[in-house]
Amino acid sequence: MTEISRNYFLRSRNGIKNFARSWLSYVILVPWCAFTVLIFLWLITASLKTNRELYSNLWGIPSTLTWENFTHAWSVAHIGTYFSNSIFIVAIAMAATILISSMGAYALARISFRGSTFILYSLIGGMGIPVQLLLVPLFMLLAKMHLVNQPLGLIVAYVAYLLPFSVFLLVGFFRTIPMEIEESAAMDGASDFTIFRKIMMPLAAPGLITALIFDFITLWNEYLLALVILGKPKNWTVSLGLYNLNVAMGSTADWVSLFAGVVIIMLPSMLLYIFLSDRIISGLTLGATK
Amino acid sequence: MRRIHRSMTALLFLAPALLVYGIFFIYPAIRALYISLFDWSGFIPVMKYIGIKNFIELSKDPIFWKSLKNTLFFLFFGGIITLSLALLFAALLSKKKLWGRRFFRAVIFFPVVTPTVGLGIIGTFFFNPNGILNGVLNSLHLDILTNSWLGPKLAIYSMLAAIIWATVGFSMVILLAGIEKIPETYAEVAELEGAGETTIFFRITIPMIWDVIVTVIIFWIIGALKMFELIYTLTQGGPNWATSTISIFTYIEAFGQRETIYRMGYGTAAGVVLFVLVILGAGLTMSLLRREAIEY
Repeated sequence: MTEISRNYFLRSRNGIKNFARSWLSYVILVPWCAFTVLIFLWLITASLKTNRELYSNLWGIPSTLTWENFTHAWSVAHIGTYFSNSIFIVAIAMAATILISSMGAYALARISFRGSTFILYSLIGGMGIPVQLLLVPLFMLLAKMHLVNQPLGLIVAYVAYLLPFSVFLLVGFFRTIPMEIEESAAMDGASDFTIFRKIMMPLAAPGLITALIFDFITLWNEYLLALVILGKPKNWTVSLGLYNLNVAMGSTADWVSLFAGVVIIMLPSMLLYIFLSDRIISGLTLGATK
Repeated sequence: MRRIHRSMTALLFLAPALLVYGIFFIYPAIRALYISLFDWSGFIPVMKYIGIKNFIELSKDPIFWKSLKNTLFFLFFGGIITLSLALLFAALLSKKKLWGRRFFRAVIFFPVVTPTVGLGIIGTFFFNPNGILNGVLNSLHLDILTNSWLGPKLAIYSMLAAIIWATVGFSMVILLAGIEKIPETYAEVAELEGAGETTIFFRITIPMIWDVIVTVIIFWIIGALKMFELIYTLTQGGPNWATSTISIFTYIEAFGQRETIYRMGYGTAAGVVLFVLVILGAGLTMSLLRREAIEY
Protein backbone atom coordinates (compact mmCIF):
# COMPACT_ATOMS: atom_id res chain seq x y z
CA MET A 1 0.00 0.00 0.00
CA THR A 2 1.45 3.37 -0.93
CA GLU A 3 1.85 6.06 1.68
CA ILE A 4 -0.82 8.25 0.11
CA SER A 5 -3.49 5.62 -0.11
CA ARG A 6 -2.74 4.52 3.42
CA ASN A 7 -3.23 8.06 4.68
CA TYR A 8 -6.39 8.31 2.69
CA PHE A 9 -7.60 5.07 4.17
CA LEU A 10 -6.87 6.26 7.70
CA ARG A 11 -8.52 9.59 7.13
CA SER A 12 -11.68 8.17 5.68
CA ARG A 13 -11.81 5.70 8.51
CA ASN A 14 -11.61 8.64 10.92
CA GLY A 15 -14.30 10.38 8.93
CA ILE A 16 -16.62 7.43 9.28
CA LYS A 17 -15.77 7.16 12.96
CA ASN A 18 -16.52 10.85 13.45
CA PHE A 19 -19.78 10.51 11.67
CA ALA A 20 -20.70 7.48 13.73
CA ARG A 21 -19.97 9.40 16.88
CA SER A 22 -21.89 12.48 15.79
CA TRP A 23 -24.70 10.25 14.65
CA LEU A 24 -25.16 9.17 18.24
CA SER A 25 -25.06 12.79 19.37
CA TYR A 26 -27.79 13.67 16.90
CA VAL A 27 -29.97 10.83 18.12
CA ILE A 28 -29.94 12.48 21.53
CA LEU A 29 -29.92 16.15 20.60
CA VAL A 30 -32.29 16.27 17.66
CA PRO A 31 -35.42 14.89 19.39
CA TRP A 32 -34.94 17.18 22.39
CA CYS A 33 -34.45 20.28 20.27
CA ALA A 34 -37.17 19.31 17.81
CA PHE A 35 -39.58 19.00 20.70
CA THR A 36 -38.68 22.44 22.01
CA VAL A 37 -38.85 24.11 18.60
CA LEU A 38 -42.15 22.39 17.76
CA ILE A 39 -43.73 23.46 21.05
CA PHE A 40 -43.01 27.11 20.36
CA LEU A 41 -43.98 26.86 16.68
CA TRP A 42 -47.19 25.14 17.73
CA LEU A 43 -47.88 27.94 20.19
CA ILE A 44 -47.55 30.54 17.45
CA THR A 45 -49.83 28.67 15.03
CA ALA A 46 -52.34 28.01 17.82
CA SER A 47 -52.46 31.70 18.69
CA LEU A 48 -53.71 32.36 15.15
CA LYS A 49 -56.51 29.81 15.15
CA THR A 50 -60.10 30.10 16.31
CA ASN A 51 -61.05 28.20 19.44
CA ARG A 52 -63.05 25.77 17.34
CA GLU A 53 -60.15 25.13 15.01
CA LEU A 54 -57.82 24.61 17.94
CA TYR A 55 -59.55 21.31 18.63
CA SER A 56 -60.67 20.32 15.14
CA ASN A 57 -57.26 21.02 13.66
CA LEU A 58 -54.86 20.65 16.58
CA TRP A 59 -51.73 20.18 14.46
CA GLY A 60 -52.24 21.89 11.15
CA ILE A 61 -51.55 25.46 10.25
CA PRO A 62 -54.59 27.69 10.68
CA SER A 63 -56.87 27.92 7.63
CA THR A 64 -57.29 31.66 8.14
CA LEU A 65 -55.12 33.77 10.38
CA THR A 66 -57.21 35.00 13.29
CA TRP A 67 -55.41 38.17 14.23
CA GLU A 68 -58.39 39.10 16.40
CA ASN A 69 -56.88 36.88 19.11
CA PHE A 70 -54.07 39.36 19.43
CA THR A 71 -56.23 42.47 19.41
CA HIS A 72 -58.53 40.73 21.89
CA ALA A 73 -55.65 39.84 24.24
CA TRP A 74 -54.08 43.27 23.81
CA SER A 75 -57.11 45.45 24.51
CA VAL A 76 -60.02 43.42 25.87
CA ALA A 77 -57.83 41.36 28.18
CA HIS A 78 -55.71 44.47 28.91
CA ILE A 79 -52.40 42.81 28.05
CA GLY A 80 -51.53 46.12 26.37
CA THR A 81 -51.89 48.00 29.66
CA TYR A 82 -49.88 45.37 31.53
CA PHE A 83 -47.27 45.49 28.80
CA SER A 84 -46.70 49.21 29.22
CA ASN A 85 -46.80 48.87 33.04
CA SER A 86 -44.09 46.24 32.79
CA ILE A 87 -41.99 48.34 30.43
CA PHE A 88 -42.22 51.30 32.82
CA ILE A 89 -41.43 49.31 35.96
CA VAL A 90 -38.70 47.21 34.39
CA ALA A 91 -37.00 50.17 32.69
CA ILE A 92 -36.76 52.25 35.86
CA ALA A 93 -35.69 49.31 38.01
CA MET A 94 -33.03 48.36 35.46
CA ALA A 95 -31.65 51.88 35.20
CA ALA A 96 -31.45 52.25 38.98
CA THR A 97 -29.93 48.79 39.41
CA ILE A 98 -27.27 49.26 36.79
CA LEU A 99 -26.27 52.63 38.22
CA ILE A 100 -25.93 51.60 41.84
CA SER A 101 -24.59 48.11 41.19
CA SER A 102 -21.89 49.33 38.81
CA MET A 103 -20.78 51.92 41.37
CA GLY A 104 -20.72 49.28 44.08
CA ALA A 105 -19.01 46.70 41.90
CA TYR A 106 -16.37 49.26 40.92
CA ALA A 107 -15.54 49.91 44.57
CA LEU A 108 -15.43 46.19 45.36
CA ALA A 109 -13.35 45.23 42.36
CA ARG A 110 -10.94 48.14 42.10
CA ILE A 111 -10.45 49.77 45.49
CA SER A 112 -8.82 47.69 48.18
CA PHE A 113 -10.15 48.55 51.60
CA ARG A 114 -10.81 46.73 54.81
CA GLY A 115 -14.07 44.79 54.81
CA SER A 116 -14.45 44.68 51.03
CA THR A 117 -14.48 40.89 50.97
CA PHE A 118 -17.10 40.79 53.68
CA ILE A 119 -19.32 43.26 51.82
CA LEU A 120 -18.85 41.37 48.56
CA TYR A 121 -19.89 38.08 50.12
CA SER A 122 -22.82 39.62 51.95
CA LEU A 123 -24.09 41.00 48.67
CA ILE A 124 -23.52 37.84 46.65
CA GLY A 125 -24.94 35.72 49.47
CA GLY A 126 -28.31 37.31 48.72
CA MET A 127 -28.56 34.97 45.73
CA GLY A 128 -29.06 32.16 48.22
CA ILE A 129 -31.89 33.79 50.14
CA PRO A 130 -35.26 32.62 48.85
CA VAL A 131 -37.65 35.46 48.04
CA GLN A 132 -40.37 33.53 49.86
CA LEU A 133 -38.62 34.32 53.12
CA LEU A 134 -38.82 38.04 52.39
CA LEU A 135 -42.42 38.19 51.21
CA VAL A 136 -44.21 39.01 54.44
CA PRO A 137 -41.69 41.42 56.00
CA LEU A 138 -41.15 43.16 52.68
CA PHE A 139 -44.89 43.48 52.18
CA MET A 140 -45.29 44.98 55.67
CA LEU A 141 -42.36 47.34 55.17
CA LEU A 142 -43.75 48.59 51.88
CA ALA A 143 -47.20 48.91 53.46
CA LYS A 144 -45.73 51.15 56.15
CA MET A 145 -44.13 53.29 53.47
CA HIS A 146 -47.45 53.39 51.56
CA LEU A 147 -45.78 51.67 48.65
CA VAL A 148 -48.01 48.61 48.40
CA ASN A 149 -50.10 48.67 45.22
CA GLN A 150 -47.69 51.26 43.84
CA PRO A 151 -45.37 50.69 40.89
CA LEU A 152 -42.66 52.42 42.95
CA GLY A 153 -42.96 49.76 45.66
CA LEU A 154 -42.33 47.02 43.15
CA ILE A 155 -39.47 49.01 41.61
CA VAL A 156 -37.51 49.30 44.88
CA ALA A 157 -38.14 45.63 45.64
CA TYR A 158 -36.86 44.75 42.17
CA VAL A 159 -33.70 46.82 42.58
CA ALA A 160 -32.91 45.04 45.85
CA TYR A 161 -33.78 41.71 44.25
CA LEU A 162 -31.44 42.28 41.27
CA LEU A 163 -28.49 43.65 43.23
CA PRO A 164 -26.79 40.40 44.29
CA PHE A 165 -26.58 38.95 40.79
CA SER A 166 -25.76 42.27 39.10
CA VAL A 167 -22.94 43.01 41.53
CA PHE A 168 -21.63 39.45 41.14
CA LEU A 169 -21.60 39.80 37.36
CA LEU A 170 -20.08 43.29 37.28
CA VAL A 171 -17.34 42.62 39.83
CA GLY A 172 -16.27 39.82 37.49
CA PHE A 173 -16.20 42.23 34.57
CA PHE A 174 -14.39 45.06 36.35
CA ARG A 175 -11.70 42.63 37.46
CA THR A 176 -10.87 41.75 33.87
CA ILE A 177 -9.96 45.36 33.05
CA PRO A 178 -6.20 45.97 33.40
CA MET A 179 -5.20 48.07 36.41
CA GLU A 180 -2.62 50.15 34.52
CA ILE A 181 -5.25 52.28 32.82
CA GLU A 182 -6.69 53.75 35.97
CA GLU A 183 -3.30 53.93 37.67
CA SER A 184 -2.01 56.22 34.98
CA ALA A 185 -5.21 58.25 35.15
CA ALA A 186 -4.77 58.56 38.92
CA MET A 187 -1.18 59.73 38.35
CA ASP A 188 -2.55 62.46 36.13
CA GLY A 189 -4.67 63.57 39.05
CA ALA A 190 -8.05 62.17 38.06
CA SER A 191 -10.39 61.57 41.00
CA ASP A 192 -12.13 58.23 41.60
CA PHE A 193 -15.37 59.64 40.27
CA THR A 194 -13.74 60.83 37.08
CA ILE A 195 -12.00 57.49 36.62
CA PHE A 196 -15.26 55.66 37.19
CA ARG A 197 -17.29 57.84 34.86
CA LYS A 198 -14.81 58.54 32.09
CA ILE A 199 -12.67 55.42 32.03
CA MET A 200 -14.31 52.46 33.75
CA MET A 201 -17.84 52.85 32.49
CA PRO A 202 -16.90 52.92 28.79
CA LEU A 203 -14.47 50.01 29.25
CA ALA A 204 -17.05 48.00 31.13
CA ALA A 205 -19.76 48.69 28.55
CA PRO A 206 -19.97 45.06 27.35
CA GLY A 207 -20.36 43.95 30.97
CA LEU A 208 -23.00 46.57 31.63
CA ILE A 209 -24.95 45.47 28.57
CA THR A 210 -24.81 41.83 29.69
CA ALA A 211 -26.03 42.82 33.15
CA LEU A 212 -28.83 44.86 31.59
CA ILE A 213 -29.96 41.92 29.48
CA PHE A 214 -30.00 39.67 32.52
CA ASP A 215 -31.84 42.17 34.62
CA PHE A 216 -34.37 42.59 31.85
CA ILE A 217 -35.00 38.86 31.47
CA THR A 218 -35.27 38.36 35.23
CA LEU A 219 -37.72 41.20 35.75
CA TRP A 220 -39.78 40.60 32.63
CA ASN A 221 -40.33 37.04 33.88
CA GLU A 222 -40.76 37.91 37.56
CA TYR A 223 -44.06 36.93 39.07
CA LEU A 224 -44.02 36.30 42.81
CA LEU A 225 -42.99 39.75 44.06
CA ALA A 226 -45.41 41.42 41.66
CA LEU A 227 -48.16 39.09 42.85
CA VAL A 228 -47.64 40.09 46.46
CA ILE A 229 -46.93 43.79 46.02
CA LEU A 230 -49.34 44.81 43.27
CA GLY A 231 -52.98 44.29 44.15
CA LYS A 232 -54.82 46.58 41.78
CA PRO A 233 -55.22 45.24 38.25
CA LYS A 234 -54.49 48.63 36.71
CA ASN A 235 -50.89 48.44 37.92
CA TRP A 236 -50.29 44.80 37.02
CA THR A 237 -47.26 43.58 35.11
CA VAL A 238 -47.48 41.21 32.15
CA SER A 239 -46.88 38.04 34.16
CA LEU A 240 -49.67 38.90 36.56
CA GLY A 241 -52.05 39.89 33.79
CA LEU A 242 -51.30 36.79 31.81
CA TYR A 243 -51.70 34.49 34.75
CA ASN A 244 -54.99 36.13 35.59
CA LEU A 245 -56.10 35.61 32.01
CA ASN A 246 -55.18 31.97 32.50
CA VAL A 247 -57.39 31.75 35.58
CA ALA A 248 -60.26 33.52 33.80
CA MET A 249 -59.81 31.04 30.96
CA GLY A 250 -61.21 28.41 33.30
CA SER A 251 -64.63 29.91 32.62
CA THR A 252 -64.22 31.43 29.16
CA ALA A 253 -62.27 28.51 27.61
CA ASP A 254 -60.74 31.09 25.30
CA TRP A 255 -57.44 29.32 24.80
CA VAL A 256 -56.45 31.07 21.61
CA SER A 257 -56.49 34.57 23.11
CA LEU A 258 -54.48 33.21 26.02
CA PHE A 259 -51.93 31.82 23.57
CA ALA A 260 -51.84 35.16 21.79
CA GLY A 261 -51.11 36.74 25.18
CA VAL A 262 -48.29 34.25 25.76
CA VAL A 263 -46.82 35.09 22.36
CA ILE A 264 -47.01 38.81 23.16
CA ILE A 265 -45.16 38.52 26.46
CA MET A 266 -42.59 36.13 25.00
CA LEU A 267 -41.82 38.43 22.10
CA PRO A 268 -39.31 40.74 23.82
CA SER A 269 -37.27 37.88 25.29
CA MET A 270 -37.49 35.97 22.02
CA LEU A 271 -36.18 38.92 19.99
CA LEU A 272 -33.41 39.60 22.50
CA TYR A 273 -32.49 35.95 22.40
CA ILE A 274 -32.37 35.64 18.63
CA PHE A 275 -29.84 38.47 18.38
CA LEU A 276 -27.97 38.10 21.64
CA SER A 277 -28.08 34.44 22.71
CA ASP A 278 -24.29 34.08 22.51
CA ARG A 279 -23.76 37.13 24.67
CA ILE A 280 -26.41 36.02 27.18
CA ILE A 281 -24.88 32.56 27.49
CA SER A 282 -21.28 33.76 27.72
CA GLY A 283 -22.23 36.45 30.24
CA LEU A 284 -23.88 33.88 32.45
CA THR A 285 -20.92 31.53 32.36
CA LEU A 286 -18.36 34.25 32.97
CA GLY A 287 -19.10 34.41 36.68
CA ALA A 288 -20.05 30.81 37.21
CA THR A 289 -16.97 29.10 35.83
CA LYS A 290 -14.50 31.44 37.47
CA MET B 1 -4.28 59.03 55.58
CA ARG B 2 -4.59 57.98 51.94
CA ARG B 3 -5.83 54.59 53.09
CA ILE B 4 -8.68 56.16 55.03
CA HIS B 5 -9.46 58.38 52.09
CA ARG B 6 -9.66 55.35 49.81
CA SER B 7 -12.00 53.54 52.21
CA MET B 8 -14.24 56.58 52.35
CA THR B 9 -14.41 56.73 48.57
CA ALA B 10 -15.22 53.04 48.38
CA LEU B 11 -18.00 53.38 50.91
CA LEU B 12 -19.38 56.37 49.03
CA PHE B 13 -19.54 54.29 45.87
CA LEU B 14 -21.13 51.43 47.75
CA ALA B 15 -23.57 53.51 49.79
CA PRO B 16 -26.58 53.45 47.43
CA ALA B 17 -26.32 49.72 46.81
CA LEU B 18 -25.86 48.90 50.48
CA LEU B 19 -28.72 51.18 51.48
CA VAL B 20 -31.25 49.61 49.11
CA TYR B 21 -29.95 46.10 49.76
CA GLY B 22 -29.93 46.61 53.52
CA ILE B 23 -33.41 48.10 53.75
CA PHE B 24 -35.27 45.99 51.21
CA PHE B 25 -33.39 42.71 51.40
CA ILE B 26 -31.34 42.12 54.54
CA TYR B 27 -33.72 43.81 56.94
CA PRO B 28 -36.77 41.81 55.71
CA ALA B 29 -34.71 38.61 55.80
CA ILE B 30 -33.81 39.14 59.47
CA ARG B 31 -37.26 40.40 60.29
CA ALA B 32 -38.67 37.17 58.84
CA LEU B 33 -36.94 35.16 61.54
CA TYR B 34 -38.65 37.36 64.11
CA ILE B 35 -42.09 37.25 62.48
CA SER B 36 -41.95 33.45 62.36
CA LEU B 37 -42.29 33.52 66.17
CA PHE B 38 -45.65 35.30 66.10
CA ASP B 39 -49.25 34.46 65.51
CA TRP B 40 -50.25 37.20 63.16
CA SER B 41 -52.90 37.69 60.54
CA GLY B 42 -51.25 40.74 59.05
CA PHE B 43 -54.28 42.99 58.98
CA ILE B 44 -54.61 43.57 62.68
CA PRO B 45 -51.74 45.41 64.30
CA VAL B 46 -51.54 42.95 67.20
CA MET B 47 -48.84 40.35 66.81
CA LYS B 48 -49.01 37.68 69.42
CA TYR B 49 -45.70 36.19 70.47
CA ILE B 50 -45.96 32.42 70.53
CA GLY B 51 -42.32 31.29 70.47
CA ILE B 52 -41.70 28.25 68.35
CA LYS B 53 -45.36 27.23 68.22
CA ASN B 54 -45.52 27.94 64.47
CA PHE B 55 -42.74 25.44 63.93
CA ILE B 56 -44.45 22.89 66.17
CA GLU B 57 -47.64 23.36 64.18
CA LEU B 58 -45.68 22.90 60.95
CA SER B 59 -44.31 19.62 62.25
CA LYS B 60 -47.87 18.40 62.74
CA ASP B 61 -49.30 19.78 59.52
CA PRO B 62 -49.70 16.94 56.99
CA ILE B 63 -49.80 19.42 54.13
CA PHE B 64 -46.49 20.88 55.19
CA TRP B 65 -45.01 17.37 55.22
CA LYS B 66 -46.50 16.66 51.82
CA SER B 67 -44.95 19.89 50.53
CA LEU B 68 -41.61 19.04 52.11
CA LYS B 69 -41.69 15.59 50.56
CA ASN B 70 -42.44 17.04 47.13
CA THR B 71 -39.71 19.64 47.54
CA LEU B 72 -37.16 16.94 48.30
CA PHE B 73 -38.49 14.81 45.44
CA PHE B 74 -37.91 17.63 42.95
CA LEU B 75 -34.60 18.45 44.58
CA PHE B 76 -33.14 14.92 44.41
CA PHE B 77 -34.74 13.23 41.43
CA GLY B 78 -35.00 16.44 39.47
CA GLY B 79 -31.38 17.15 40.34
CA ILE B 80 -30.05 13.75 39.34
CA ILE B 81 -31.92 13.72 36.03
CA THR B 82 -31.40 17.38 35.16
CA LEU B 83 -27.71 17.42 35.97
CA SER B 84 -27.00 14.11 34.20
CA LEU B 85 -28.83 15.33 31.13
CA ALA B 86 -27.06 18.68 31.31
CA LEU B 87 -23.71 16.94 31.55
CA LEU B 88 -24.59 14.68 28.63
CA PHE B 89 -25.69 17.60 26.46
CA ALA B 90 -22.61 19.59 27.44
CA ALA B 91 -20.33 16.67 26.57
CA LEU B 92 -21.99 16.20 23.18
CA LEU B 93 -21.97 19.91 22.40
CA SER B 94 -18.35 20.36 23.40
CA LYS B 95 -17.27 18.54 20.23
CA LYS B 96 -16.18 21.29 17.90
CA LYS B 97 -16.91 19.22 14.81
CA LEU B 98 -20.56 18.71 15.65
CA TRP B 99 -22.62 20.42 12.99
CA GLY B 100 -25.19 22.84 14.41
CA ARG B 101 -23.85 22.88 17.95
CA ARG B 102 -24.57 26.58 18.52
CA PHE B 103 -28.12 26.06 17.35
CA PHE B 104 -28.63 23.09 19.68
CA ARG B 105 -27.17 25.00 22.58
CA ALA B 106 -29.42 27.98 21.91
CA VAL B 107 -32.55 25.83 21.65
CA ILE B 108 -31.87 23.82 24.80
CA PHE B 109 -31.23 27.04 26.73
CA PHE B 110 -34.23 28.91 25.33
CA PRO B 111 -36.85 27.91 27.98
CA VAL B 112 -34.57 29.44 30.63
CA VAL B 113 -35.06 32.94 29.22
CA THR B 114 -38.75 32.49 28.40
CA PRO B 115 -41.30 34.05 30.78
CA THR B 116 -42.17 31.25 33.16
CA VAL B 117 -45.84 32.14 33.33
CA GLY B 118 -45.90 31.55 29.57
CA LEU B 119 -44.25 28.16 30.03
CA GLY B 120 -46.79 27.31 32.70
CA ILE B 121 -49.66 28.13 30.36
CA ILE B 122 -48.14 26.11 27.52
CA GLY B 123 -47.70 23.28 30.02
CA THR B 124 -51.31 23.53 31.12
CA PHE B 125 -52.48 22.93 27.58
CA PHE B 126 -49.76 20.39 26.85
CA PHE B 127 -50.96 18.17 29.71
CA ASN B 128 -54.64 19.07 29.34
CA PRO B 129 -56.92 16.03 28.82
CA ASN B 130 -57.79 17.42 25.38
CA GLY B 131 -54.36 18.93 24.93
CA ILE B 132 -51.18 18.28 23.04
CA LEU B 133 -49.82 15.17 24.74
CA ASN B 134 -53.04 13.20 24.59
CA GLY B 135 -53.59 14.53 21.07
CA VAL B 136 -50.24 13.12 19.94
CA LEU B 137 -50.96 9.79 21.59
CA ASN B 138 -54.38 9.61 19.96
CA SER B 139 -53.07 10.39 16.51
CA LEU B 140 -50.44 7.67 16.96
CA HIS B 141 -53.25 5.26 17.91
CA LEU B 142 -51.76 4.92 21.35
CA ASP B 143 -55.05 5.79 23.01
CA ILE B 144 -54.29 3.42 25.87
CA LEU B 145 -51.52 5.68 27.00
CA THR B 146 -53.63 8.82 27.17
CA ASN B 147 -53.99 9.94 30.72
CA SER B 148 -54.98 12.72 33.01
CA TRP B 149 -51.45 14.04 33.26
CA LEU B 150 -52.16 16.67 35.86
CA GLY B 151 -54.45 14.42 37.87
CA PRO B 152 -53.63 13.41 41.45
CA LYS B 153 -51.54 10.40 40.46
CA LEU B 154 -49.38 11.70 37.66
CA ALA B 155 -49.19 15.43 38.36
CA ILE B 156 -45.93 15.20 40.26
CA TYR B 157 -44.21 13.32 37.42
CA SER B 158 -45.57 15.65 34.78
CA MET B 159 -44.31 18.53 36.89
CA LEU B 160 -40.92 16.87 37.21
CA ALA B 161 -40.71 16.53 33.42
CA ALA B 162 -41.69 20.17 32.95
CA ILE B 163 -39.08 21.31 35.48
CA ILE B 164 -36.34 19.28 33.81
CA TRP B 165 -37.22 20.58 30.35
CA ALA B 166 -37.40 24.18 31.50
CA THR B 167 -34.19 24.25 33.54
CA VAL B 168 -31.70 21.83 31.98
CA GLY B 169 -30.31 24.53 29.67
CA PHE B 170 -29.08 26.59 32.58
CA SER B 171 -26.87 23.85 34.02
CA MET B 172 -25.84 22.80 30.53
CA VAL B 173 -24.35 26.12 29.45
CA ILE B 174 -22.33 26.43 32.64
CA LEU B 175 -20.96 22.88 32.31
CA LEU B 176 -20.27 23.45 28.63
CA ALA B 177 -18.29 26.59 29.36
CA GLY B 178 -16.31 24.61 31.93
CA ILE B 179 -15.52 21.83 29.47
CA GLU B 180 -14.49 24.30 26.79
CA LYS B 181 -11.91 25.80 29.13
CA ILE B 182 -9.98 22.53 29.39
CA PRO B 183 -6.95 22.67 27.08
CA GLU B 184 -7.41 20.15 24.28
CA THR B 185 -3.92 18.73 24.69
CA TYR B 186 -5.05 16.55 27.61
CA ALA B 187 -7.63 14.70 25.57
CA GLU B 188 -5.25 14.48 22.61
CA VAL B 189 -2.52 12.88 24.69
CA ALA B 190 -4.97 10.46 26.24
CA GLU B 191 -6.30 9.56 22.82
CA LEU B 192 -2.77 8.83 21.59
CA GLU B 193 -2.31 6.60 24.61
CA GLY B 194 -5.36 4.72 23.39
CA ALA B 195 -8.03 6.01 25.76
CA GLY B 196 -11.58 5.82 24.44
CA GLU B 197 -14.07 8.61 24.49
CA THR B 198 -15.85 7.44 27.64
CA THR B 199 -12.57 6.97 29.46
CA ILE B 200 -11.53 10.49 28.52
CA PHE B 201 -14.87 11.81 29.69
CA PHE B 202 -14.79 10.13 33.10
CA ARG B 203 -11.04 10.29 33.74
CA ILE B 204 -10.20 13.71 32.34
CA THR B 205 -13.24 15.85 31.67
CA ILE B 206 -15.13 15.23 34.91
CA PRO B 207 -12.19 15.65 37.28
CA MET B 208 -11.09 18.78 35.47
CA ILE B 209 -14.47 20.48 35.68
CA TRP B 210 -15.19 19.20 39.16
CA ASP B 211 -15.43 22.67 40.70
CA VAL B 212 -17.82 23.72 37.91
CA ILE B 213 -19.96 20.65 38.66
CA VAL B 214 -20.09 21.62 42.33
CA THR B 215 -21.12 25.16 41.36
CA VAL B 216 -23.89 23.78 39.15
CA ILE B 217 -25.11 21.51 41.96
CA ILE B 218 -25.28 24.47 44.33
CA PHE B 219 -27.13 26.56 41.75
CA TRP B 220 -29.53 23.66 41.29
CA ILE B 221 -30.18 23.30 45.01
CA ILE B 222 -30.91 27.00 45.43
CA GLY B 223 -33.01 27.16 42.26
CA ALA B 224 -34.98 23.98 42.96
CA LEU B 225 -35.82 25.03 46.52
CA LYS B 226 -36.88 28.52 45.44
CA MET B 227 -38.85 27.39 42.40
CA PHE B 228 -42.28 28.94 42.42
CA GLU B 229 -43.56 30.32 39.12
CA LEU B 230 -43.59 27.15 37.06
CA ILE B 231 -45.37 25.09 39.70
CA TYR B 232 -47.79 27.84 40.62
CA THR B 233 -48.82 28.58 37.06
CA LEU B 234 -49.04 24.93 36.08
CA THR B 235 -50.97 23.47 39.02
CA GLN B 236 -51.01 25.98 41.93
CA GLY B 237 -49.60 23.09 43.91
CA GLY B 238 -52.64 20.94 43.22
CA PRO B 239 -54.56 18.80 42.71
CA ASN B 240 -55.07 18.42 46.41
CA TRP B 241 -51.48 19.47 47.24
CA ALA B 242 -50.02 16.76 45.00
CA THR B 243 -47.42 19.15 43.58
CA SER B 244 -47.14 21.64 46.42
CA THR B 245 -43.66 22.55 47.62
CA ILE B 246 -42.52 24.55 50.63
CA SER B 247 -42.09 27.50 48.35
CA ILE B 248 -45.75 27.22 47.27
CA PHE B 249 -46.88 26.44 50.82
CA THR B 250 -45.23 29.59 52.17
CA TYR B 251 -47.09 31.82 49.75
CA ILE B 252 -50.40 30.02 50.07
CA GLU B 253 -50.39 30.17 53.87
CA ALA B 254 -49.10 33.71 54.23
CA PHE B 255 -51.38 35.25 51.64
CA GLY B 256 -54.57 33.49 52.51
CA GLN B 257 -55.06 30.95 49.74
CA ARG B 258 -55.59 27.94 52.00
CA GLU B 259 -58.02 29.52 54.38
CA THR B 260 -59.17 33.07 53.93
CA ILE B 261 -56.93 34.18 56.78
CA TYR B 262 -53.54 35.67 56.05
CA ARG B 263 -51.42 33.48 58.30
CA MET B 264 -48.31 35.57 57.97
CA GLY B 265 -46.42 34.24 60.96
CA TYR B 266 -47.14 30.65 60.04
CA GLY B 267 -46.31 31.12 56.37
CA THR B 268 -43.09 32.92 57.23
CA ALA B 269 -42.11 30.04 59.52
CA ALA B 270 -42.31 27.79 56.46
CA GLY B 271 -40.15 30.35 54.64
CA VAL B 272 -37.58 30.03 57.42
CA VAL B 273 -37.57 26.25 56.95
CA LEU B 274 -36.96 26.83 53.24
CA PHE B 275 -34.04 29.12 54.02
CA VAL B 276 -32.56 26.55 56.40
CA LEU B 277 -32.85 23.93 53.64
CA VAL B 278 -30.97 26.20 51.23
CA ILE B 279 -28.17 26.73 53.73
CA LEU B 280 -28.01 23.04 54.65
CA GLY B 281 -28.09 21.92 51.04
CA ALA B 282 -25.49 24.36 49.79
CA GLY B 283 -23.31 23.91 52.87
CA LEU B 284 -23.38 20.11 52.75
CA THR B 285 -22.65 20.07 49.04
CA MET B 286 -19.69 22.35 49.50
CA SER B 287 -18.19 20.50 52.41
CA LEU B 288 -18.74 17.05 50.93
CA LEU B 289 -17.90 17.65 47.31
CA ARG B 290 -15.50 20.54 47.12
CA ARG B 291 -11.98 19.36 46.48
CA GLU B 292 -8.78 21.09 45.68
CA ALA B 293 -9.31 22.56 42.21
CA ILE B 294 -7.05 21.14 39.56
CA GLU B 295 -4.94 23.94 38.15
CA TYR B 296 -4.41 24.00 34.44
